[in-house]
Amino acid sequence: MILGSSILGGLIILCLVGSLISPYEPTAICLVDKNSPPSFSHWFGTDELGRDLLARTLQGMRISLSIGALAAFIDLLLGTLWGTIAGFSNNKVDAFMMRLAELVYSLPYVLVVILASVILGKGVVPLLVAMICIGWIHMARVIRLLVRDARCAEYVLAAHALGVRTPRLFFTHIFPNIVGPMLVACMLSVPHAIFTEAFLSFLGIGIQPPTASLGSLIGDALPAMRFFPWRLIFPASFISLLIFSIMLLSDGLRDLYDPKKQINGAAL
Amino acid sequence: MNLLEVDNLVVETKTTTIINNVCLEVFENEIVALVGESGSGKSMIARSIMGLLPSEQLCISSGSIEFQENELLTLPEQSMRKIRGRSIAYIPQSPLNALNPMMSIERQLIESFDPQFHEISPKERALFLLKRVGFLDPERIMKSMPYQLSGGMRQRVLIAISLMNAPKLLIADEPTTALDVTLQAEILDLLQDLKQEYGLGILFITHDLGLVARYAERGYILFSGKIVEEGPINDLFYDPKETYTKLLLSSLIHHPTMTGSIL
Repeated sequence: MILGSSILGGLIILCLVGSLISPYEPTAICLVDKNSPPSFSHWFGTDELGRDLLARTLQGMRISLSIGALAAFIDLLLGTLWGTIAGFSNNKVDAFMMRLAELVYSLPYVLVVILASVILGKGVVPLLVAMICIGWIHMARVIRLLVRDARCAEYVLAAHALGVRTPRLFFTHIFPNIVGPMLVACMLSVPHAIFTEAFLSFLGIGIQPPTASLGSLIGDALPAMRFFPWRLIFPASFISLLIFSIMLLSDGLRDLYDPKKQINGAAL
Repeated sequence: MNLLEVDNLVVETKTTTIINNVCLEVFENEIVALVGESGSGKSMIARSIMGLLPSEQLCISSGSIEFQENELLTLPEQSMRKIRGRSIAYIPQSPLNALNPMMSIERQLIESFDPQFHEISPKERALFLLKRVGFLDPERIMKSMPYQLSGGMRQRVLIAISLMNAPKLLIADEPTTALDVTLQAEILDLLQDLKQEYGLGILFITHDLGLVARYAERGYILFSGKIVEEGPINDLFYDPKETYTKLLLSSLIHHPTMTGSIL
Protein backbone atom coordinates (compact mmCIF):
# COMPACT_ATOMS: atom_id res chain seq x y z
CA MET A 1 0.00 0.00 0.00
CA ILE A 2 2.69 2.48 1.05
CA LEU A 3 5.04 1.29 -1.69
CA GLY A 4 2.25 1.43 -4.24
CA SER A 5 1.07 4.88 -3.33
CA SER A 6 4.61 6.26 -3.16
CA ILE A 7 5.51 4.92 -6.61
CA LEU A 8 2.24 6.25 -8.02
CA GLY A 9 2.75 9.57 -6.22
CA GLY A 10 6.29 9.80 -7.62
CA LEU A 11 5.04 9.12 -11.14
CA ILE A 12 2.29 11.72 -10.82
CA ILE A 13 4.78 14.32 -9.60
CA LEU A 14 7.07 13.40 -12.49
CA CYS A 15 4.18 14.01 -14.88
CA LEU A 16 3.34 17.36 -13.31
CA VAL A 17 6.87 18.73 -13.25
CA GLY A 18 7.74 17.05 -16.54
CA SER A 19 8.66 20.25 -18.34
CA LEU A 20 11.12 21.18 -15.57
CA ILE A 21 13.09 17.96 -15.89
CA SER A 22 13.30 17.83 -19.63
CA PRO A 23 13.98 21.13 -21.35
CA TYR A 24 12.62 19.87 -24.69
CA GLU A 25 9.13 20.16 -26.09
CA PRO A 26 7.62 16.68 -26.59
CA THR A 27 6.88 17.55 -30.21
CA ALA A 28 10.02 19.55 -31.03
CA ILE A 29 11.69 17.93 -34.04
CA CYS A 30 15.47 17.95 -34.32
CA LEU A 31 16.56 15.79 -37.25
CA VAL A 32 20.25 16.15 -36.42
CA ASP A 33 19.79 14.21 -33.20
CA LYS A 34 17.52 11.47 -34.53
CA ASN A 35 17.66 8.02 -32.93
CA SER A 36 20.43 9.02 -30.55
CA PRO A 37 20.97 6.70 -27.57
CA PRO A 38 20.49 7.89 -23.99
CA SER A 39 22.98 10.60 -23.10
CA PHE A 40 23.31 13.55 -20.73
CA SER A 41 21.50 15.90 -23.09
CA HIS A 42 18.74 13.37 -23.88
CA TRP A 43 18.39 11.07 -20.85
CA PHE A 44 16.12 8.56 -22.59
CA GLY A 45 17.52 9.16 -26.09
CA THR A 46 15.50 10.40 -29.05
CA ASP A 47 13.15 8.92 -31.65
CA GLU A 48 13.34 8.81 -35.43
CA LEU A 49 12.47 12.51 -35.74
CA GLY A 50 14.92 13.54 -33.02
CA ARG A 51 12.19 14.25 -30.46
CA ASP A 52 13.31 13.90 -26.85
CA LEU A 53 12.04 10.60 -25.51
CA LEU A 54 11.98 11.65 -21.86
CA ALA A 55 9.66 14.54 -22.67
CA ARG A 56 7.50 12.26 -24.82
CA THR A 57 7.36 9.51 -22.20
CA LEU A 58 6.28 11.98 -19.55
CA GLN A 59 3.64 13.44 -21.84
CA GLY A 60 2.45 9.94 -22.70
CA MET A 61 2.22 9.04 -19.06
CA ARG A 62 0.28 12.22 -18.34
CA ILE A 63 -2.23 11.28 -21.00
CA SER A 64 -2.39 7.64 -19.95
CA LEU A 65 -2.93 8.55 -16.32
CA SER A 66 -5.56 11.18 -16.96
CA ILE A 67 -7.47 8.95 -19.36
CA GLY A 68 -7.21 6.05 -16.94
CA ALA A 69 -8.36 8.05 -13.93
CA LEU A 70 -11.12 9.88 -15.80
CA ALA A 71 -12.46 6.73 -17.45
CA ALA A 72 -12.41 4.84 -14.16
CA PHE A 73 -14.13 7.69 -12.35
CA ILE A 74 -16.94 8.04 -14.89
CA ASP A 75 -17.25 4.24 -15.01
CA LEU A 76 -17.63 4.26 -11.27
CA LEU A 77 -20.30 6.97 -11.32
CA LEU A 78 -22.38 5.40 -14.08
CA GLY A 79 -21.81 1.88 -12.84
CA THR A 80 -22.77 2.75 -9.26
CA LEU A 81 -25.92 4.50 -10.39
CA TRP A 82 -27.02 1.71 -12.71
CA GLY A 83 -25.90 -1.11 -10.43
CA THR A 84 -27.54 0.33 -7.33
CA ILE A 85 -30.84 0.95 -9.07
CA ALA A 86 -30.81 -2.56 -10.56
CA GLY A 87 -29.76 -4.09 -7.27
CA PHE A 88 -32.58 -2.46 -5.37
CA SER A 89 -35.40 -2.84 -7.86
CA ASN A 90 -37.57 -5.88 -8.25
CA ASN A 91 -36.65 -8.86 -10.38
CA LYS A 92 -38.27 -7.67 -13.60
CA VAL A 93 -36.70 -4.21 -13.66
CA ASP A 94 -33.40 -5.71 -12.59
CA ALA A 95 -33.46 -8.33 -15.33
CA PHE A 96 -34.37 -5.71 -17.94
CA MET A 97 -31.59 -3.35 -16.86
CA MET A 98 -28.94 -6.04 -16.76
CA ARG A 99 -29.93 -7.58 -20.10
CA LEU A 100 -29.77 -4.12 -21.63
CA ALA A 101 -26.30 -3.67 -20.19
CA GLU A 102 -25.19 -7.07 -21.43
CA LEU A 103 -26.47 -6.20 -24.89
CA VAL A 104 -24.14 -3.21 -24.98
CA TYR A 105 -21.38 -5.30 -23.46
CA SER A 106 -21.61 -7.80 -26.28
CA LEU A 107 -20.61 -5.22 -28.92
CA PRO A 108 -17.03 -5.75 -30.09
CA TYR A 109 -14.79 -3.25 -28.41
CA VAL A 110 -12.70 -2.20 -31.38
CA LEU A 111 -15.85 -1.68 -33.42
CA VAL A 112 -17.21 0.73 -30.82
CA VAL A 113 -13.94 2.65 -30.79
CA ILE A 114 -13.88 2.90 -34.58
CA LEU A 115 -17.53 3.99 -34.66
CA ALA A 116 -16.85 6.60 -32.00
CA SER A 117 -13.88 7.94 -33.93
CA VAL A 118 -15.95 8.05 -37.13
CA ILE A 119 -18.71 10.00 -35.41
CA LEU A 120 -16.70 12.20 -33.07
CA GLY A 121 -13.39 12.40 -34.90
CA LYS A 122 -10.07 11.17 -33.57
CA GLY A 123 -8.48 12.20 -30.33
CA VAL A 124 -8.76 11.91 -26.61
CA VAL A 125 -12.50 12.60 -26.23
CA PRO A 126 -13.85 9.98 -28.66
CA LEU A 127 -11.45 7.47 -27.17
CA LEU A 128 -12.73 8.26 -23.70
CA VAL A 129 -16.35 8.05 -24.83
CA ALA A 130 -15.76 4.68 -26.45
CA MET A 131 -13.99 3.33 -23.39
CA ILE A 132 -16.72 4.50 -21.03
CA CYS A 133 -19.46 3.12 -23.31
CA ILE A 134 -18.21 -0.37 -22.57
CA GLY A 135 -16.35 0.08 -19.31
CA TRP A 136 -19.23 1.15 -17.08
CA ILE A 137 -21.00 -2.15 -17.58
CA HIS A 138 -18.40 -4.17 -15.77
CA MET A 139 -18.67 -1.77 -12.84
CA ALA A 140 -22.47 -1.87 -12.88
CA ARG A 141 -22.44 -5.67 -12.74
CA VAL A 142 -20.01 -5.74 -9.84
CA ILE A 143 -21.99 -3.17 -7.89
CA ARG A 144 -25.36 -4.76 -8.60
CA LEU A 145 -24.07 -8.04 -7.26
CA LEU A 146 -22.65 -6.37 -4.15
CA VAL A 147 -25.90 -4.52 -3.49
CA ARG A 148 -28.01 -7.66 -3.98
CA ASP A 149 -25.74 -9.57 -1.68
CA ALA A 150 -25.76 -6.96 1.06
CA ARG A 151 -29.48 -6.31 0.72
CA CYS A 152 -30.30 -9.92 1.56
CA ALA A 153 -27.71 -10.16 4.32
CA GLU A 154 -29.05 -11.16 7.69
CA TYR A 155 -27.64 -8.11 9.44
CA VAL A 156 -29.70 -5.90 7.13
CA LEU A 157 -32.82 -7.87 8.02
CA ALA A 158 -31.86 -7.64 11.68
CA ALA A 159 -31.37 -3.88 11.47
CA HIS A 160 -34.68 -3.57 9.63
CA ALA A 161 -36.32 -5.57 12.41
CA LEU A 162 -34.90 -3.07 14.89
CA GLY A 163 -36.82 -0.29 13.23
CA VAL A 164 -33.92 1.36 11.39
CA ARG A 165 -35.06 3.76 8.67
CA THR A 166 -34.52 2.74 5.06
CA PRO A 167 -32.08 5.55 4.08
CA ARG A 168 -30.09 4.88 7.22
CA LEU A 169 -30.20 1.17 6.44
CA PHE A 170 -28.51 1.93 3.15
CA PHE A 171 -25.91 4.36 4.37
CA THR A 172 -24.80 2.63 7.56
CA HIS A 173 -25.43 -1.03 6.85
CA ILE A 174 -25.27 -1.67 3.14
CA PHE A 175 -22.91 0.98 1.81
CA PRO A 176 -19.96 0.44 4.22
CA ASN A 177 -20.04 -3.24 3.40
CA ILE A 178 -19.80 -2.76 -0.34
CA VAL A 179 -17.45 0.22 -0.51
CA GLY A 180 -14.31 -1.91 -0.11
CA PRO A 181 -14.89 -4.25 -3.06
CA MET A 182 -16.27 -1.26 -4.99
CA LEU A 183 -13.04 0.69 -4.56
CA VAL A 184 -10.97 -2.31 -5.54
CA ALA A 185 -13.06 -2.78 -8.69
CA CYS A 186 -12.62 0.91 -9.46
CA MET A 187 -8.87 0.81 -8.89
CA LEU A 188 -8.58 -2.25 -11.10
CA SER A 189 -10.43 -0.48 -13.88
CA VAL A 190 -7.75 2.25 -13.93
CA PRO A 191 -4.99 -0.07 -15.21
CA HIS A 192 -7.54 -1.66 -17.49
CA ALA A 193 -8.31 1.74 -18.99
CA ILE A 194 -4.61 2.56 -19.28
CA PHE A 195 -3.96 -0.74 -21.01
CA THR A 196 -6.87 -0.25 -23.37
CA GLU A 197 -5.72 3.24 -24.27
CA ALA A 198 -2.18 1.94 -24.85
CA PHE A 199 -3.50 -0.94 -26.91
CA LEU A 200 -5.68 1.26 -29.10
CA SER A 201 -2.91 3.82 -29.55
CA PHE A 202 -0.54 0.98 -30.40
CA LEU A 203 -2.97 -0.05 -33.14
CA GLY A 204 -3.12 3.56 -34.29
CA ILE A 205 -6.82 4.19 -33.57
CA GLY A 206 -6.29 5.91 -30.22
CA ILE A 207 -4.25 8.99 -29.49
CA GLN A 208 -3.16 10.60 -32.75
CA PRO A 209 0.35 11.89 -33.58
CA PRO A 210 2.09 14.15 -32.86
CA THR A 211 0.68 13.75 -29.33
CA ALA A 212 2.40 10.87 -27.58
CA SER A 213 0.89 8.24 -25.36
CA LEU A 214 2.74 5.35 -23.82
CA GLY A 215 1.00 2.98 -26.19
CA SER A 216 1.76 4.94 -29.34
CA LEU A 217 5.40 5.35 -28.25
CA ILE A 218 5.72 1.59 -27.93
CA GLY A 219 3.95 1.11 -31.23
CA ASP A 220 6.35 3.54 -32.96
CA ALA A 221 9.37 1.88 -31.36
CA LEU A 222 8.45 -1.65 -32.36
CA PRO A 223 9.74 -1.71 -35.98
CA ALA A 224 13.15 -0.42 -34.87
CA MET A 225 13.34 -2.45 -31.68
CA ARG A 226 16.54 -4.33 -32.61
CA PHE A 227 18.49 -1.16 -33.41
CA PHE A 228 17.15 1.40 -30.97
CA PRO A 229 15.94 -0.65 -27.97
CA TRP A 230 15.79 2.36 -25.63
CA ARG A 231 12.81 3.68 -27.55
CA LEU A 232 10.89 0.58 -26.48
CA ILE A 233 12.36 -0.03 -23.04
CA PHE A 234 11.61 3.34 -21.43
CA PRO A 235 7.88 3.69 -22.25
CA ALA A 236 7.32 -0.02 -21.63
CA SER A 237 8.94 0.05 -18.21
CA PHE A 238 7.00 3.17 -17.26
CA ILE A 239 3.70 1.58 -18.18
CA SER A 240 4.63 -1.51 -16.14
CA LEU A 241 5.63 0.61 -13.17
CA LEU A 242 2.38 2.58 -13.40
CA ILE A 243 0.19 -0.52 -13.50
CA PHE A 244 2.21 -2.22 -10.75
CA SER A 245 1.83 0.74 -8.39
CA ILE A 246 -1.93 0.95 -8.98
CA MET A 247 -2.29 -2.78 -8.32
CA LEU A 248 -0.39 -2.43 -5.04
CA LEU A 249 -2.55 0.51 -4.08
CA SER A 250 -5.79 -1.36 -4.76
CA ASP A 251 -4.59 -4.29 -2.66
CA GLY A 252 -3.84 -1.85 0.14
CA LEU A 253 -7.27 -0.25 -0.18
CA ARG A 254 -8.94 -3.62 0.09
CA ASP A 255 -7.08 -4.30 3.33
CA LEU A 256 -8.02 -0.88 4.63
CA TYR A 257 -11.71 -1.70 4.26
CA ASP A 258 -11.41 -5.14 5.80
CA PRO A 259 -12.47 -4.88 9.45
CA LYS A 260 -10.20 -7.77 10.36
CA LYS A 261 -7.11 -5.83 9.33
CA GLN A 262 -7.95 -2.82 11.45
CA ILE A 263 -6.08 -2.27 14.64
CA ASN A 264 -8.00 -1.78 17.91
CA GLY A 265 -11.27 -2.26 16.09
CA ALA A 266 -11.41 1.41 15.15
CA ALA A 267 -14.46 1.89 12.96
CA LEU A 268 -14.02 3.55 9.63
CA MET B 1 -52.85 -10.25 29.25
CA ASN B 2 -53.01 -11.25 25.65
CA LEU B 3 -49.92 -9.71 24.05
CA LEU B 4 -49.97 -11.11 20.55
CA GLU B 5 -52.79 -12.77 18.72
CA VAL B 6 -52.35 -14.18 15.25
CA ASP B 7 -55.64 -15.19 13.71
CA ASN B 8 -56.14 -17.32 10.61
CA LEU B 9 -52.97 -16.08 8.98
CA VAL B 10 -52.51 -17.12 5.36
CA VAL B 11 -49.32 -16.36 3.47
CA GLU B 12 -49.05 -17.24 -0.17
CA THR B 13 -46.71 -17.09 -3.10
CA LYS B 14 -48.10 -16.96 -6.61
CA THR B 15 -48.33 -20.73 -6.76
CA THR B 16 -48.36 -22.17 -3.26
CA THR B 17 -49.65 -21.52 0.23
CA ILE B 18 -46.78 -21.15 2.69
CA ILE B 19 -48.74 -20.49 5.86
CA ASN B 20 -52.22 -21.95 6.07
CA ASN B 21 -54.71 -20.62 8.63
CA VAL B 22 -52.30 -20.25 11.49
CA CYS B 23 -53.67 -19.06 14.84
CA LEU B 24 -51.43 -18.44 17.79
CA GLU B 25 -51.30 -16.41 20.97
CA VAL B 26 -48.55 -15.15 23.21
CA PHE B 27 -49.25 -13.86 26.70
CA GLU B 28 -47.14 -11.70 28.93
CA ASN B 29 -44.53 -13.47 31.05
CA GLU B 30 -44.62 -16.61 28.97
CA ILE B 31 -42.34 -18.59 26.68
CA VAL B 32 -44.27 -20.03 23.77
CA ALA B 33 -42.54 -22.50 21.52
CA LEU B 34 -43.23 -22.71 17.83
CA VAL B 35 -41.87 -26.08 16.77
CA GLY B 36 -41.55 -27.45 13.29
CA GLU B 37 -39.16 -29.05 10.88
CA SER B 38 -37.13 -26.91 8.52
CA GLY B 39 -39.21 -25.43 5.75
CA SER B 40 -42.43 -25.66 7.75
CA GLY B 41 -42.83 -21.88 7.80
CA LYS B 42 -41.60 -20.98 11.28
CA SER B 43 -39.48 -18.05 10.20
CA MET B 44 -42.14 -16.87 7.79
CA ILE B 45 -44.58 -16.53 10.69
CA ALA B 46 -41.97 -14.53 12.60
CA ARG B 47 -41.33 -12.28 9.63
CA SER B 48 -45.06 -11.82 9.05
CA ILE B 49 -45.43 -10.56 12.61
CA MET B 50 -42.52 -8.16 12.10
CA GLY B 51 -43.95 -7.03 8.77
CA LEU B 52 -40.73 -8.04 7.06
CA LEU B 53 -41.85 -10.58 4.51
CA PRO B 54 -39.94 -10.34 1.23
CA SER B 55 -42.81 -8.56 -0.49
CA GLU B 56 -41.75 -9.45 -4.02
CA GLN B 57 -42.47 -13.13 -3.61
CA LEU B 58 -44.84 -13.44 -0.67
CA CYS B 59 -48.02 -11.79 0.41
CA ILE B 60 -50.36 -12.11 3.34
CA SER B 61 -53.68 -12.88 1.73
CA SER B 62 -55.89 -13.04 4.80
CA GLY B 63 -55.91 -13.15 8.58
CA SER B 64 -55.02 -10.71 11.28
CA ILE B 65 -52.11 -10.07 13.60
CA GLU B 66 -53.01 -8.14 16.71
CA PHE B 67 -50.40 -6.82 19.07
CA GLN B 68 -51.73 -5.26 22.29
CA GLU B 69 -55.11 -4.89 20.63
CA ASN B 70 -53.65 -3.09 17.58
CA GLU B 71 -53.96 -4.62 14.15
CA LEU B 72 -50.46 -4.78 12.66
CA LEU B 73 -51.31 -5.82 9.11
CA THR B 74 -53.10 -2.60 8.24
CA LEU B 75 -50.65 -0.36 10.06
CA PRO B 76 -48.73 2.05 7.80
CA GLU B 77 -45.01 1.38 7.42
CA GLN B 78 -44.19 4.51 9.42
CA SER B 79 -45.97 3.30 12.57
CA MET B 80 -44.83 -0.27 12.00
CA ARG B 81 -41.23 0.95 12.10
CA LYS B 82 -41.88 2.46 15.52
CA ILE B 83 -43.12 -0.89 16.80
CA ARG B 84 -40.16 -2.85 15.46
CA GLY B 85 -37.31 -2.85 17.90
CA ARG B 86 -39.37 -0.88 20.43
CA SER B 87 -42.38 -2.98 21.41
CA ILE B 88 -41.54 -6.11 19.43
CA ALA B 89 -37.93 -7.17 19.20
CA TYR B 90 -36.51 -9.81 16.96
CA ILE B 91 -33.50 -12.03 17.61
CA PRO B 92 -32.28 -13.26 14.25
CA GLN B 93 -31.41 -16.78 13.31
CA SER B 94 -27.69 -16.89 12.88
CA PRO B 95 -25.54 -14.80 15.20
CA LEU B 96 -22.58 -15.12 12.84
CA ASN B 97 -24.30 -13.11 10.10
CA ALA B 98 -26.68 -10.92 12.00
CA LEU B 99 -24.19 -8.28 13.09
CA ASN B 100 -22.92 -5.74 10.59
CA PRO B 101 -19.24 -6.63 10.13
CA MET B 102 -18.27 -3.02 9.55
CA MET B 103 -19.74 -1.51 12.72
CA SER B 104 -18.47 -1.68 16.28
CA ILE B 105 -20.66 -3.38 18.87
CA GLU B 106 -21.24 -0.04 20.56
CA ARG B 107 -22.63 1.60 17.43
CA GLN B 108 -24.90 -1.36 16.75
CA LEU B 109 -26.23 -1.37 20.28
CA ILE B 110 -26.91 2.33 20.28
CA GLU B 111 -28.36 2.47 16.80
CA SER B 112 -31.79 1.23 17.80
CA PHE B 113 -31.94 3.18 21.07
CA ASP B 114 -34.93 5.44 21.42
CA PRO B 115 -34.22 8.06 24.12
CA GLN B 116 -37.87 8.72 24.89
CA PHE B 117 -38.17 5.40 26.70
CA HIS B 118 -35.31 5.90 29.09
CA GLU B 119 -33.84 8.27 31.57
CA ILE B 120 -30.29 7.02 31.15
CA SER B 121 -27.89 7.64 28.29
CA PRO B 122 -27.68 5.09 25.47
CA LYS B 123 -24.18 4.14 26.53
CA GLU B 124 -25.19 3.43 30.11
CA ARG B 125 -28.11 1.35 28.89
CA ALA B 126 -25.83 -0.59 26.54
CA LEU B 127 -23.28 -1.26 29.28
CA PHE B 128 -26.04 -2.33 31.67
CA LEU B 129 -27.50 -4.77 29.16
CA LEU B 130 -24.13 -6.21 28.16
CA LYS B 131 -23.49 -6.90 31.83
CA ARG B 132 -27.00 -8.33 32.12
CA VAL B 133 -26.42 -10.84 29.30
CA GLY B 134 -23.34 -12.05 31.12
CA PHE B 135 -20.34 -10.11 29.89
CA LEU B 136 -17.85 -9.41 32.64
CA ASP B 137 -16.08 -6.59 30.79
CA PRO B 138 -18.77 -4.71 28.87
CA GLU B 139 -16.45 -1.78 28.12
CA ARG B 140 -14.13 -3.98 26.10
CA ILE B 141 -17.03 -5.65 24.28
CA MET B 142 -18.46 -2.24 23.35
CA LYS B 143 -15.26 -1.37 21.55
CA SER B 144 -14.96 -4.70 19.73
CA MET B 145 -15.84 -5.46 16.15
CA PRO B 146 -18.14 -8.45 15.50
CA TYR B 147 -15.38 -10.67 14.08
CA GLN B 148 -13.52 -10.46 17.39
CA LEU B 149 -16.35 -12.19 19.26
CA SER B 150 -17.28 -15.85 19.25
CA GLY B 151 -20.68 -17.15 18.15
CA GLY B 152 -22.06 -17.33 21.68
CA MET B 153 -20.81 -13.84 22.49
CA ARG B 154 -22.40 -12.47 19.33
CA GLN B 155 -25.68 -14.14 20.19
CA ARG B 156 -25.62 -12.49 23.61
CA VAL B 157 -24.82 -9.16 21.96
CA LEU B 158 -27.85 -9.67 19.70
CA ILE B 159 -30.03 -10.35 22.73
CA ALA B 160 -28.69 -7.18 24.35
CA ILE B 161 -29.46 -5.23 21.18
CA SER B 162 -33.00 -6.60 21.09
CA LEU B 163 -33.55 -5.51 24.70
CA MET B 164 -32.31 -1.93 24.24
CA ASN B 165 -35.79 -0.41 24.24
CA ALA B 166 -37.33 -2.78 26.80
CA PRO B 167 -39.69 -4.58 24.38
CA LYS B 168 -42.87 -6.34 25.45
CA LEU B 169 -42.56 -9.18 22.99
CA LEU B 170 -39.41 -10.97 21.93
CA ILE B 171 -39.42 -13.11 18.81
CA ALA B 172 -36.45 -15.43 19.00
CA ASP B 173 -36.00 -17.11 15.62
CA GLU B 174 -33.92 -20.22 16.33
CA PRO B 175 -31.63 -18.25 18.62
CA THR B 176 -29.53 -21.26 19.53
CA THR B 177 -29.31 -23.26 16.33
CA ALA B 178 -25.83 -22.02 15.52
CA LEU B 179 -24.50 -22.57 19.02
CA ASP B 180 -23.03 -25.54 20.81
CA VAL B 181 -24.95 -27.38 23.51
CA THR B 182 -23.51 -25.70 26.59
CA LEU B 183 -24.18 -22.27 25.13
CA GLN B 184 -27.73 -23.20 24.16
CA ALA B 185 -28.63 -23.82 27.76
CA GLU B 186 -26.85 -20.66 28.84
CA ILE B 187 -28.71 -18.47 26.33
CA LEU B 188 -32.06 -19.98 27.19
CA ASP B 189 -31.49 -19.66 30.92
CA LEU B 190 -30.79 -16.03 30.17
CA LEU B 191 -34.01 -15.65 28.18
CA GLN B 192 -35.95 -17.30 30.99
CA ASP B 193 -34.46 -14.95 33.58
CA LEU B 194 -35.26 -11.96 31.38
CA LYS B 195 -38.82 -13.18 30.99
CA GLN B 196 -39.30 -13.31 34.74
CA GLU B 197 -37.54 -10.02 35.30
CA TYR B 198 -39.39 -7.92 32.72
CA GLY B 199 -42.56 -9.95 32.18
CA LEU B 200 -41.61 -10.51 28.57
CA GLY B 201 -43.65 -12.58 26.21
CA ILE B 202 -41.25 -14.72 24.18
CA LEU B 203 -42.11 -16.50 20.96
CA PHE B 204 -39.40 -19.13 20.78
CA ILE B 205 -39.02 -20.59 17.32
CA THR B 206 -37.05 -23.81 17.21
CA HIS B 207 -36.84 -27.36 16.02
CA ASP B 208 -35.09 -28.55 19.16
CA LEU B 209 -37.59 -30.50 21.22
CA GLY B 210 -35.20 -30.91 24.14
CA LEU B 211 -35.08 -27.15 24.62
CA VAL B 212 -38.83 -26.85 24.21
CA ALA B 213 -39.40 -29.42 26.93
CA ARG B 214 -37.13 -27.61 29.30
CA TYR B 215 -38.05 -23.99 28.77
CA ALA B 216 -41.38 -23.43 27.07
CA GLU B 217 -44.75 -23.29 28.81
CA ARG B 218 -46.95 -23.76 25.78
CA GLY B 219 -46.20 -25.02 22.35
CA TYR B 220 -47.47 -25.03 18.79
CA ILE B 221 -46.48 -27.82 16.42
CA LEU B 222 -46.21 -26.59 12.86
CA PHE B 223 -46.20 -28.88 9.87
CA SER B 224 -45.99 -27.57 6.29
CA GLY B 225 -47.59 -24.26 7.16
CA LYS B 226 -50.35 -25.61 9.39
CA ILE B 227 -50.60 -25.82 13.15
CA VAL B 228 -51.26 -29.50 13.74
CA GLU B 229 -51.37 -29.45 17.51
CA GLU B 230 -51.17 -26.94 20.32
CA GLY B 231 -51.33 -26.88 24.07
CA PRO B 232 -49.31 -26.85 27.28
CA ILE B 233 -45.94 -28.52 26.93
CA ASN B 234 -46.81 -31.33 29.34
CA ASP B 235 -49.80 -32.36 27.26
CA LEU B 236 -47.88 -32.17 24.02
CA PHE B 237 -45.09 -34.35 25.30
CA TYR B 238 -47.01 -36.90 27.38
CA ASP B 239 -50.28 -37.09 25.56
CA PRO B 240 -49.76 -36.21 21.89
CA LYS B 241 -52.96 -36.47 19.87
CA GLU B 242 -51.70 -36.09 16.34
CA THR B 243 -49.63 -38.60 14.43
CA TYR B 244 -47.16 -35.92 13.40
CA THR B 245 -46.50 -34.90 16.99
CA LYS B 246 -45.94 -38.52 17.93
CA LEU B 247 -43.54 -38.93 15.04
CA LEU B 248 -41.73 -35.77 16.02
CA LEU B 249 -41.37 -36.97 19.57
CA SER B 250 -40.17 -40.39 18.51
CA SER B 251 -37.44 -38.69 16.50
CA LEU B 252 -35.96 -37.28 19.70
CA ILE B 253 -32.59 -38.88 20.25
CA HIS B 254 -32.43 -40.35 23.72
CA HIS B 255 -29.04 -39.98 25.24
CA PRO B 256 -27.97 -42.93 27.41
CA THR B 257 -27.59 -40.62 30.40
CA MET B 258 -31.08 -39.19 29.93
CA THR B 259 -33.04 -41.81 31.84
CA GLY B 260 -36.70 -41.53 32.50
CA SER B 261 -38.63 -38.47 31.49
CA ILE B 262 -37.22 -35.70 29.41
CA LEU B 263 -39.21 -33.09 31.27
